[in-house]
Amino acid sequence: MTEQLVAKAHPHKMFFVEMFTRDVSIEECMLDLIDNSIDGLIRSRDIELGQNLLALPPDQRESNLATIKLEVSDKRVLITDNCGGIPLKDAREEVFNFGHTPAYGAESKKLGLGVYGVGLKRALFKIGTAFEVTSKTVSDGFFMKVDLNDWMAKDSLREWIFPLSPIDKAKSIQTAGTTIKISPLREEARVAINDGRFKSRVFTEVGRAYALFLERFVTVQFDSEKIKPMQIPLGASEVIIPAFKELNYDGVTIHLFASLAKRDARNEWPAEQAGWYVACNGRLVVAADKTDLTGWGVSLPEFHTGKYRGFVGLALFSSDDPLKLPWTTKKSGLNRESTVFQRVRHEMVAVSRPIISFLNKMYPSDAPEEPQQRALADEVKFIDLHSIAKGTQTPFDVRPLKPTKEKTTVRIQFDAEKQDVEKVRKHLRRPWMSYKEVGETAFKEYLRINKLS
Amino acid sequence: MITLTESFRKVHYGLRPSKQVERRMIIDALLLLAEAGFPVRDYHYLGMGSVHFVDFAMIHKFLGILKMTSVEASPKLTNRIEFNRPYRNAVETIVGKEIGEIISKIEENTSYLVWLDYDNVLSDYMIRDIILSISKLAAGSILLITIDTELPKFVGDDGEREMAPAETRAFFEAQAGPYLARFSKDEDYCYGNLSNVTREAIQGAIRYGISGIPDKEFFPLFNFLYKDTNRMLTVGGMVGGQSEKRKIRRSSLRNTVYARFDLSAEPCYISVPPLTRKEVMYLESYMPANQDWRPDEFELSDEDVSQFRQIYRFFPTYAELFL
Repeated sequence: MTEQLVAKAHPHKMFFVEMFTRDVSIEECMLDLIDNSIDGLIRSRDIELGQNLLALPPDQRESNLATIKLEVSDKRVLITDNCGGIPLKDAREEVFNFGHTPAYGAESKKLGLGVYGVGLKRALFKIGTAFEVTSKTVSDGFFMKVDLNDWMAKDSLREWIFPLSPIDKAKSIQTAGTTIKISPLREEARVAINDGRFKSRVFTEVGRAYALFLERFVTVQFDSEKIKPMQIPLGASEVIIPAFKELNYDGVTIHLFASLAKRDARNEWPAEQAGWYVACNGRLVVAADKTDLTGWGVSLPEFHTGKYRGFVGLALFSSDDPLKLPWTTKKSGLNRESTVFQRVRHEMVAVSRPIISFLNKMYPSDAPEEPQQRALADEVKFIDLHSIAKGTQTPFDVRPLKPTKEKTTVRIQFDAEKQDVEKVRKHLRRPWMSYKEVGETAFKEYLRINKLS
Repeated sequence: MITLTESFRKVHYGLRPSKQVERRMIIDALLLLAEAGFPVRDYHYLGMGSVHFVDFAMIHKFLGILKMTSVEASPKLTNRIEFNRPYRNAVETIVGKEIGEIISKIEENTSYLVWLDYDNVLSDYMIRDIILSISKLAAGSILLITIDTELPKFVGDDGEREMAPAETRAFFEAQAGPYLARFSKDEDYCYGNLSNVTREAIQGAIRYGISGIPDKEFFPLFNFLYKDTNRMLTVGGMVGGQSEKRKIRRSSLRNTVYARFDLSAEPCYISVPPLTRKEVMYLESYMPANQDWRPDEFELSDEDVSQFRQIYRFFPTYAELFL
């Protein structure tokens, strides 16, 4: 018997620190750090990630919400939360692994947003060259300090560890949480943070990614300033009934909503808000999509800015096994090959179709808005998704208004000689009178003279 | 110049005999599918009946289908459609809505017979309707798609003209480009190949419509090509899984002249030979006949004899009635 030859297939730390971090932006790293905090919240507060995410939790006042504080300078990135902390056992065995063990995923709700076991480490490596993690739950606590240059110098498989030491547990759930300090920063992170637009990008991306968590379950502050959630402009009215559909495929529950958007302060539909929004376990991964990803230009018409800017749809995917959800590792997009998503995309198209028809009628060949549809669209207000999700499934519909009082007027139109109109204006000494007023005056005068009114 | 034969055919054109043969063949197929265990009588027929409702009348009379919906996008025909609506307890009409919108709302546990009976050349909205139909239809449902395969017309300042091959190619690529990668040259878009191009686009849309849906397949049943005035293509088949496949295989459809289980095979060409009533009665008296049979009493081309042999069971009879 000859000896079985083998080829080495070992990981190297260099790969994870230098290569693995290239496809992610510093802003996305901030989201990965927040994901870690929100995972603590989901674990410790037992948050259900399905349609309940749509509701305002009844016992939560804003002042009681957990808080995640980001403090960012070109010296250090600090994130502090009171979201429940990381249990010592999880820290030792799972959280800092590169990828999770199958057993970890099987324990329901342990993986809310931290699905791949990638994001936190990637963020730590991308932002700085050393980091400290302090975390306390109501049961235990730990402290970890890592210098990446030292860590990388020891590349044998036995050295794939971060030393940590136990510390006191938190006194209450309100004080249980995690603090991560990353310092010093890498040069590329320092430049990005100092570019003058970093803060506004973080505000936009955090407000969007956690649109369903912010002000409901958690507050996120950036340098003490509270980040507002983006509002998904799904609308409804007495006559505009939004589409709602619930599906279950392969351990994933999907809630689809689609309707007309609520108009903005100028009574317009901003095109940048139109399209499909997709969330996985509450984390928004796609916002206002108008591309073939969500069927536009394939099984829906091409997104036409003039015509379809009133469309808005929301697809919520939730599962106790987040590996089944169609998100990418960066959670900033959808894995379009996901079998669940490919299947749901057909349903997204089907619930959209009646809205497309409504908008086609509203904007015939780019002419001005049809007044009938315009009037219906003007009445659209934000909807309470949670109460819709508790109700029956329905396609988008425009219900006819109840007949109002019978009309008692008729419209009279006729042509008159311009010189005759001028004579009337002159006679009344009102040269600015509109033609309509001239006609009305003449008609009223006839009724008066003949004592008919 | 119109020859005698052409003008003779022209009388038939108004009555669209080939379309009628196609309808009869489809009815025949549905009867065979019913025989094979599909509850065709309980299907819901969704079609585009316009003002004529010929298909609706036949489907109700011959198949006993009681739930039928006719969709007409143009609101201009509202009164005519309502006036002509047959079997008013069985046929409902929806006017002023696109068929895609109606398909998006169909019931998921009902078997449908859907006929997307367009009278235009391929267009992107047809592709979208096909994708939507295929993705929505429950197992056992049947989808028929009829599309004009004449050369598209170019409308310019100097009136209307048929498109040149390069224009035709651009036109089709704009409608269904992602499904037409196989046809990459201008000459692929010549008149003779347009039915293949259209069929390819339909098949692509069907494949896309079932993608990602487990246990859902499309089993082709029909691939008709006929020309009354314009050359028309009808592709049809059943949506379903292995159980539907087994039933179709076991059905007598395989013994018919018109069924096509593989869309890459030759289509069923429907051509109605121009015959007098007396000739038809004579020919019918010798049917079914073998391939070599020829009439003794009058001259008829081999092609016409062959066509008659194929379609005599579905041959439409027209006569003028003074009522």
